[in-house]
Amino acid sequence: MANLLLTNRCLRACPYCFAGRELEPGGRGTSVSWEDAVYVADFLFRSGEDRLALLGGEPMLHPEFVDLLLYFRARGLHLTVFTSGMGPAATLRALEAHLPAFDGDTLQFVCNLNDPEQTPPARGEPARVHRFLTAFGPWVMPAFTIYRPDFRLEFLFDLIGQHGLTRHLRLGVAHPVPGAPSRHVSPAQYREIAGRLCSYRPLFERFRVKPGFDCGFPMCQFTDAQLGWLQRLCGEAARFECGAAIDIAPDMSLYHCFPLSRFQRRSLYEFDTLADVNRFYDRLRDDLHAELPGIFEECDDCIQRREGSCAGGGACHLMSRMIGEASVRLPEIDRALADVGVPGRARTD
Amino acid sequence: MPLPTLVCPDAPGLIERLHGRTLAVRVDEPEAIAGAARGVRSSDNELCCVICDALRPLADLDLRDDWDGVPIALGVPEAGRFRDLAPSIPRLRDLDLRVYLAADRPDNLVALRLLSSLGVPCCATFAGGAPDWAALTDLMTYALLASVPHAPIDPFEHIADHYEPPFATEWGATCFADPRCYLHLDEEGRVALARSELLAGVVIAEDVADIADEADLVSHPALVERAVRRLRLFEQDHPCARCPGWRVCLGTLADSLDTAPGCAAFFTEMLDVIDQRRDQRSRDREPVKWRP
Repeated sequence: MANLLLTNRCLRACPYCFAGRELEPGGRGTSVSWEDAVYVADFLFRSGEDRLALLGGEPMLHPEFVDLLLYFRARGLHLTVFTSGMGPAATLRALEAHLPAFDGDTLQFVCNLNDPEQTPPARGEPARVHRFLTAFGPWVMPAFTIYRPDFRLEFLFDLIGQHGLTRHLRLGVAHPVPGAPSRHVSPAQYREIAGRLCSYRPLFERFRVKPGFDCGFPMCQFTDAQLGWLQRLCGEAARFECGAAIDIAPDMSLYHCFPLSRFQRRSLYEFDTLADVNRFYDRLRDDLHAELPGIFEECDDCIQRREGSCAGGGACHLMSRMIGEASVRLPEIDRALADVGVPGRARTD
Repeated sequence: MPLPTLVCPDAPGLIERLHGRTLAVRVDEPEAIAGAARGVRSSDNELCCVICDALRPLADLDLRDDWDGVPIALGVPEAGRFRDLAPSIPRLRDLDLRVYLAADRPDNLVALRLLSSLGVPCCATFAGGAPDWAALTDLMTYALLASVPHAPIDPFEHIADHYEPPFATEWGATCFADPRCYLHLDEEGRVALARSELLAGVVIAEDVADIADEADLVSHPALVERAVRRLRLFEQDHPCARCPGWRVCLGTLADSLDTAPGCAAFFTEMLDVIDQRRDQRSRDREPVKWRP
């Protein structure tokens, strides 16, 4: 699946934001044009792909968000909208009016929610998010980004019950942004985080909520007992991946994921299909892993990593680590580091 | 030259006077489309299509059930908001209909691309002011080179299909403006070479009966004059006479060159795009099934 950033405008200022370099917090931002929307739909059709995720910034701030949503649906795409829930009132009203156009599982929202006590909300955020969840609750999968080891999830279970959100909680960890300061979780904190997450077992079970992991969690930070509980609760083995998200910016530039947005950035127009894009970024990630297998020393010999059931943590951690090292890596990686502005890593070509 | 199709108003008296002709009936209101088609089909003439220039956006029109089976050329000032248009897309695809939008409005260029991408045939018209030539070039390139299935956008599709160098390509027929294909009648049966001329009272025959066979038309002074008018551009050393895009433009925009600079680059680029399209098509490609 590809992600299309409808706009790089955002109303929030989350302390852990790893998309910051791609966003324009103030001002009008840059929005996807209709011409490019048609191009993306054509590109996905050519790729045999029928799913598209719409991101921002806040995608609902695109002035023609509802129209674009309906267009992509008319092109036969199944849509997932990643939102903060902070859409303009007029957009929410229009969206509500057009919901009948989306049947079955053709539209889903993933709403990234912040703990109002640990993460101070933006101006007007609680009221706006409440309005969004009230209107679209059953269409919304809650999501939460962990950026501190003492995170709290109680408020999410409240919201799930109050608004009838889907009983699947998407959990992400805040990742480092190579070459830029950002608040993130360090590898040394993962075990504590795994333990804290599993301490919410009674709430997950009582509310029958299934946790799911976004990229970057390493499997080894969970005990066998914790993994067993997760598998029993979810009915399937948890995934510990770091795949290319394939983010398409409003200007049709393309990158692996937000934290690695300056790493081998390309244009969508350089590729014929999504499979070509995936191959390109998979190869770059393989180059990284050839240099550093994972975020821990133990990743070198880890059988789960070798067999592919764990990615060895996020590639953004590997890249961040290389930044502080001497220039002894593969030329491709040195060039990539030069791209993210690391001093002393001049491009060699 | 076969006898042209007659573009006439939905006037029962006139249609009854005509026999064995092919008619494109013009109506003012979308609600009159089905009745006009029935009127022609119940006469001993053949229906080419019903032409309607609606004054409302496409999204605001009621695409009536009785439009089924009627070939319709539907002119609209704009498509309207996509959220209002979206419910009509399946119906637009099912109908035998082509949407006409003026190319001088930037939002119409976007609408043409959207409609095409959703399988709705459409046509850009050049009767109004100057288009954004760069945006039009982009649309033309999409229309002719996009590898994903989409509905045709005329006149680009027509030109690309019919362009045979070194011969010039007439494309006025896509919007009923080629007198070799379409003649225009008023309610009294007077005949003009173009709609604009009919509205201005410039007629070539006082009665359609005067144009009974091709011999009446092929040597008609007005038609000859029309061809000569183009050649005069060369005598006058008009910029069109030196334009590489002449073979697909034919000086169509010669009168508006001052207000529409950029047409030369557009039509010249079109020649390149047509060549690319032919190369593209000559390579054997698996046809991709349309999936809305």
